[in-house]
Amino acid sequence: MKSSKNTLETAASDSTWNSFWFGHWESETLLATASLAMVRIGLAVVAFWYFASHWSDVAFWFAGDGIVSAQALGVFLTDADLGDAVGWRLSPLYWVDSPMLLRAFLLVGMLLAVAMPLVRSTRAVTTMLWLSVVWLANRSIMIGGLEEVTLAWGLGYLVIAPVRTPISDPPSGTAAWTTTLARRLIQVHLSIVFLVTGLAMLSSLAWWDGTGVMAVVSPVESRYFDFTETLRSPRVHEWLTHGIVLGAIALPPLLWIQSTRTVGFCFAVIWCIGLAILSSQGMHFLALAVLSLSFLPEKFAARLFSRTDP
Amino acid sequence: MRVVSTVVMIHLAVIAIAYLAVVRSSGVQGRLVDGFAPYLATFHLAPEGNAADAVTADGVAFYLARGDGAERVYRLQVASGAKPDELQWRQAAWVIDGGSERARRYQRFLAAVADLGANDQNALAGRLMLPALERDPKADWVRIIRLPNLMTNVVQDAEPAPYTAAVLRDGAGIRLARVAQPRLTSAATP
Repeated sequence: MKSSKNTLETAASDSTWNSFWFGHWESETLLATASLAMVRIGLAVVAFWYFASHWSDVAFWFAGDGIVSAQALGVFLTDADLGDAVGWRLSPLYWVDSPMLLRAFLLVGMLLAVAMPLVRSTRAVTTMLWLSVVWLANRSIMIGGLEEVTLAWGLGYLVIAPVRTPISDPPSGTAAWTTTLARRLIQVHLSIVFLVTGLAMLSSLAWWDGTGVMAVVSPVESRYFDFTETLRSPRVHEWLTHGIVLGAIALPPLLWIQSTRTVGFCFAVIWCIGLAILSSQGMHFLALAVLSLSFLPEKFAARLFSRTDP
Repeated sequence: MRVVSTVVMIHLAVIAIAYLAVVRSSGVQGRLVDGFAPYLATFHLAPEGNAADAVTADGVAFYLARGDGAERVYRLQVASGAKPDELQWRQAAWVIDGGSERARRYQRFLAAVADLGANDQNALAGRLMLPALERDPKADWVRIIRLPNLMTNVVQDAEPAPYTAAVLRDGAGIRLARVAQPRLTSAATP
């Protein structure tokens, strides 16, 4: 009896695990398909922005006489004995030093970004866009930031999911479980990012004593806007600081608990856009806001897609 | 499904460890992240170590959340002629300010050079600066300064430029010689 009870428990646990990661009920896959469609459009916009932002200075950095040309970088990494640390940052762009070819690569990246939400018959476009972002990110040693990381994992998970159209047509078979898996991976990865952001904040006194947001806006020479005067009042910047920290830590549970998902989703979008404006890390936080769409509440999805789908 | 489940578990465990190692990694975390470096680096899944976005303050890194008094804006300045005074330094033409992605790339690069300079890695800092100075034949001196801001204190504002060098031109060749800057002493501390 004990053995059969254990078997039942294992089966139930398997079932919970499988339904979470690979669930293929119609309502679940429809919601996953709808939210991934939104994420796909949003990440396409961010990826286009990413490639376009390199247009004016790609030759300055990567061309034969560029600041971090392949040759100059190679010598530096050898001298610094950093070859092992960055040796796995693979990219064909290390072999490209012509400004024209570098711009051609950016152009292809932008075209792929435009094509990704439009081409609905193959994963090839998403895969190529993902690889293009990863290659440019891997080439950007010393000048790359967080936006590359966020774009790379977001697009990487989208590759797993099939492209569905129309959205009201529920996927079946392999398409069903890969759609759920892609959405779950985005959701869990995003939760890790929010949580670690909150924990990282707590390791700095600025986020405890209420001046964290002032520290974010104070290097005004590298910000979109100068908010130092607007936030100078302690009442304003202290409340904002506490809200930002609370947001980072509270977002994962708010997003995962079904009853608070709508509040969590709205809060996540506001939190990301707010930090994008304050910190000028627009691309990174916009990408996070887009990835938050993987938690799109059911009622929002129903409202959006009942109007657009035939 | 079991194979996929195993891959998913390993993948997320590696991601979680890599992200949790950003503030300050333990030996175990460091070894795990290094062990999975081929996977993490090839697909660009984890933040770059010592990136400029990871502003350091007392050795603590903040990859994912900007917001520390130590975050500074860097400027690359050049000067011509004999040893220049403060008025002769001018901003290098190719560096731009602002919050754009392009300006942010300049900041990350300058932060990397400044970090090397501050740690007396002069040859490496010079190695990174050389291609930039080859574009400016009038530059006889180069330095990277950190701008003060609302959150910096008088001691931080009084710190010398993290990297200052003389540009030595010999025909087509060019070399950089680090110019030592007086360091702060206890007398400068309020």
